[in-house]
Amino acid sequence: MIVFQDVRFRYPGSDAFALDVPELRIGEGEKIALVGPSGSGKTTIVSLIAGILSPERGSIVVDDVALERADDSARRVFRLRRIGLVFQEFELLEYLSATENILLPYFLDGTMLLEDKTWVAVRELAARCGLSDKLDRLPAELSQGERQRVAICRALVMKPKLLIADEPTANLDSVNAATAMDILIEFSRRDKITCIVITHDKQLLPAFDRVIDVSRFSGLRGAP
Amino acid sequence: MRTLRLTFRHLWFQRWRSLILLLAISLTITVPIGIHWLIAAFQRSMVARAVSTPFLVGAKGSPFDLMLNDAYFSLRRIDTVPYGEFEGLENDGFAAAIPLHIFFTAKKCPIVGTTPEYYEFRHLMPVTGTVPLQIGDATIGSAVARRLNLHVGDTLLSDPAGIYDIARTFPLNMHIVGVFRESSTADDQAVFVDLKTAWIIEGIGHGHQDIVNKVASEAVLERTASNVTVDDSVPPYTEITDSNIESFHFHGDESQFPLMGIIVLPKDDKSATILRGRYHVSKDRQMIEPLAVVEEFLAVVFRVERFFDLVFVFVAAATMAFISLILLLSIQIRKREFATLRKIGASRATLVWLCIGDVVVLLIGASLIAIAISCVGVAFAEEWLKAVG
Repeated sequence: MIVFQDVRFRYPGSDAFALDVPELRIGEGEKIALVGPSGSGKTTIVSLIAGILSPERGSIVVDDVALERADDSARRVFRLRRIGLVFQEFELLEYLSATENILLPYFLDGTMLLEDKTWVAVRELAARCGLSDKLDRLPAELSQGERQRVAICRALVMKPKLLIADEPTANLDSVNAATAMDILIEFSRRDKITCIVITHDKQLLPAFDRVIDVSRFSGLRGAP
Repeated sequence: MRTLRLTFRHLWFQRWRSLILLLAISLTITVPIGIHWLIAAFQRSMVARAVSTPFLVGAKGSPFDLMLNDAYFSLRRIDTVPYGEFEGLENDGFAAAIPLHIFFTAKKCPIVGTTPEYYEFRHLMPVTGTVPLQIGDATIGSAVARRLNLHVGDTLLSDPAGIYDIARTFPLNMHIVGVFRESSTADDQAVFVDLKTAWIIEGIGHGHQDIVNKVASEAVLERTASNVTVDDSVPPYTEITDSNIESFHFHGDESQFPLMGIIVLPKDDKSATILRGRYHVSKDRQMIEPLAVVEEFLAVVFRVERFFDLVFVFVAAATMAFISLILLLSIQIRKREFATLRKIGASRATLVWLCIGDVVVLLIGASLIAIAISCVGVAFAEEWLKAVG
């Protein structure tokens, strides 16, 4: 599913931080926890997987797509259609209802039709995340846990092959954190979605197939 | 279309900000558009009336006042010319002439004393009733009929010329004998009477009421050898009826009776040139071409308009600067949102649209509002201008 080979990445103009990944393989449907101290490159590595950043050298293949050969537009479309992203701060659009936030990838991809079955899928997804009666509400009218569940629905609505969550439980209490993780794991198991989660919470680690400590790839610990 | 939906949702979420911006931009667009259209409508209206009035003869003075008084019935205190001037023009044979006496009002509507030739010249046809056939009759314009809810058979009292003038004549109670079809000109706003009726209102002509013999004795307060004083049961106005019409008469030389102007319709270009020359050297008369006067006046209006245009350029520039500032602040505030959208997979075009979409939609909306307001405003103004001109 994901293959890193001889990948090197540095932020432009910065010599203080470098990420060197000689080889990294993540199989289809695997549930991976990325751990490591702050600044060790966890977000950088998922950004490389999502095609948001490009490596200085080496090859990154995700779902049979060689990202280093794809141009910006192709990577964008790939990300939009095959990768679901969940952020630590949820990053919902405050002016859209929960439904519209969930459908945001459809709004951004003008070629995808919003068919009746899409609406049905959204309602089913929302129901499984306990959001059935909250779909018309704006993010400001939802609790923290509900907002994160809306964000998870948004990541799942395009039926992605890969789900990337950057510290999805960092801003949640223990109950909501557990609920959010349960949803992520459940969906990735059911739909065989490869799931990569950045986390600092050691209690969550048993739920994953594999834990990768990213600090072993970074040249300088504690850098940005 | 879907990104447009995001724009509309954002505008709705920020509805008060959007509304204020919409109003501000609408106003900035409406004022110059409205003024342009209004001036164009004003020009059309003024020119149309001026074109249909070839020449006007009146006392020497402001050509503009003469034109406004005699062509647009916008009452000006202009000097008069004697009726003999009209007779002279008729007798010369160079032109057909139509006398005009426009000085008094009835319920604030100008009373136009003229001859039947005027109605023919302006193509005024009564939609009900007739044109004034005898003294004391009045045929009213359609707007007067509408505004004052008057019909054939009703009466209309002329306004007193001056309540502190102890020598004033009584107002004349005119009989409405017709209503003219709407012409969308100043004629709609006027009350038309025979020239002699206008002179009666002025006090040049009068009738006699037989107070001594015909007024009921209980109405008489005091009777002396030379004077009879009556109470207020005797009407304090003049009314021309079948029974007293014969008593109305004029004192003095008719050729000296006043006119406010004469519409002159030269028979041909040569006649027009001769008349132009005659009035050019006249010391106390003038002959004006309303179209030339209007064009001179409009030239001033256009100069003022150009000044306003310059002002609006600065106002528009200032408004655009404010809008740009709001746009930049909005982008700054939404920076994180755009970053998230980029990560999810939004294209650059989508992001650019989301940056400027609010302003574009507001500009389009404001333009439509401005055009709508201008259309409605100008439609009303045009009606008013038609009535005035």
